[in-house]
Amino acid sequence: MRRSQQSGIVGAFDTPEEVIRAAHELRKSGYRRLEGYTPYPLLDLERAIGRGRSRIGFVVFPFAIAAAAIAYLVQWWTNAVNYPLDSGGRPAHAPPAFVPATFEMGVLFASLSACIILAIWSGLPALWQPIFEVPGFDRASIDKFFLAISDRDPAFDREAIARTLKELGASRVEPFGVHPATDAELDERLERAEGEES
Amino acid sequence: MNPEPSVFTGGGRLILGGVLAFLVGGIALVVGGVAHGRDAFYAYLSAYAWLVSLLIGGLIFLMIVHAMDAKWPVALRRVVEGVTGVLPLAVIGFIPIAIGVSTIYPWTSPSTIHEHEVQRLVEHKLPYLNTPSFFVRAFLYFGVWLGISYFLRRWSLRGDWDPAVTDKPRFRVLSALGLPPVALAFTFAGVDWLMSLTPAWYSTMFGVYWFAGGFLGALALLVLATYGVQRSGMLTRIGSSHYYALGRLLLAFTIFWAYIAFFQFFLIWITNKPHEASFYAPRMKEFASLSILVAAGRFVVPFFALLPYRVKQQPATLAPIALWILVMHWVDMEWLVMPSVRAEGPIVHWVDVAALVCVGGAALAFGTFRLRGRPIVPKNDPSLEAAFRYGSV
Repeated sequence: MRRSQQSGIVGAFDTPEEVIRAAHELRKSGYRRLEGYTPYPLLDLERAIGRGRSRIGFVVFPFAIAAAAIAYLVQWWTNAVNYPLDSGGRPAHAPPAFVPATFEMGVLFASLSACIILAIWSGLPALWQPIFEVPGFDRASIDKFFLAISDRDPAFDREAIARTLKELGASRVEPFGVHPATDAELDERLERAEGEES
Repeated sequence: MNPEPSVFTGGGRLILGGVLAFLVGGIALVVGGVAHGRDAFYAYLSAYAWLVSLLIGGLIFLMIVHAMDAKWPVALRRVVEGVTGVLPLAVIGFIPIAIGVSTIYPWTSPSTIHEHEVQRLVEHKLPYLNTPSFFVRAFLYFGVWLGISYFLRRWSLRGDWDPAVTDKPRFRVLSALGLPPVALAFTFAGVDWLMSLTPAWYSTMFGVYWFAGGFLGALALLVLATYGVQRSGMLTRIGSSHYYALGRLLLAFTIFWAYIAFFQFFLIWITNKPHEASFYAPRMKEFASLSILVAAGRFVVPFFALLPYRVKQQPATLAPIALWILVMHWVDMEWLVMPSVRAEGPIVHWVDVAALVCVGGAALAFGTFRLRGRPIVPKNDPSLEAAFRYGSV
């Protein structure tokens, strides 16, 4: 699980090959807090930024087991303890009859917990992140590939990263999550963005 | 480019070991037959059902792969063809059952059935359940299975000699058209050979139950055979993704088997009609321990063992689970056969194990022998390179 990045530097790349190579190079030179933003899933990029397999299964499993156990207990308590009914001479505590509901509850809570945990781990309630303010970032869902380095990275060095990203083929390098110091700087950045779009 | 042998030449020790196992098991089976009579036939039936379900499971896997034109299994195809190549032996293996048919199956002589109602029911079923039609149907089943496996194997081997011949469309057509008859023959064989042991009983789920177990066993056999071939230095390009694919199928069909097994039991248990319950009655009393072993060994243990991601990727961890599933499939066959024919026990007789060793040894030797001198992959198949490069998350 990773928190979304609050501030750092982001580079825009034109092709998936470039962004994957850049991520590899940055990992090799010691950067650890990398994040990729791409129009479609890039498995190799996920691997390159050091993201392993999701651990969601390990959280879902106990939920499923607990829900199944509770479902069985509820059935046992209502049918065999609280209000036993004789139906055709079958035992009040009838394990085979309890299995379907037990299984269904396990599946239900497994999927519900997976859904909710996925939302939480993706930071979903937050509808805005600082990186959205980077001019042209909307093209991360169209045709550009972004690679961000958080300033909480132990190896973070603004100048060095900006230079490296340029060398690795980034068509643009922008800081994010830092407020422009002056109005003039804001104007400059907006103009630059407009100039590039036109 | 690579010094890896492309033609399967080894297996000498496997063949020797198989023949030895066949001889030792066979002698023990004959000795057991002399000493215990009927038990030897039941033991043989259980081992034979185990073998045939594995072979047909393998055949169905091969046909599905052809029908879907699947890419990654091409790398394993010769191994699957090695499994289905044992089918001619299964025809010979039917002879002891043909000899013992009147000993094994109670419906061959309805007059000896004590319970009047069961006797009337069996008499009512005589147009289907009688010895001549039993043999005619067995003949038909083997005809369908042998015919299809023969052509699939022949075309596959022909592609090795002549790269120009491309039989892809033929493979697809034969497999797609052949799957329903093969599956029907498999279902009916289960009804004839196993379900009719309790002649008054019926379950519409029975064929599916036998198929689910057999297909699962065939997948396990495939894992073991592939690992074995790799251990002898061939198929080195088969990697974790291929094992992961097989492992996922193992897990899926473990769950499928449990679903089928449970609901067959559940519906009969909750309805509680005498004729339907007659199958489960001995299995919940004298054979309760065997039932628990089947449920735990076929579902609980492999299900939890196969859940972790890494386990399915590494042959070193997947192969022991596959072996376990293979043995448990035999225990399942014991569970299907024995309570129906010797309700008083013993649960597992030593003759049963002798029959398993005999049948398993013969199949191993025969299968390895037929694979010898053949390329270990369909080397001219256009999908082979893609099959080797197959990668999954």
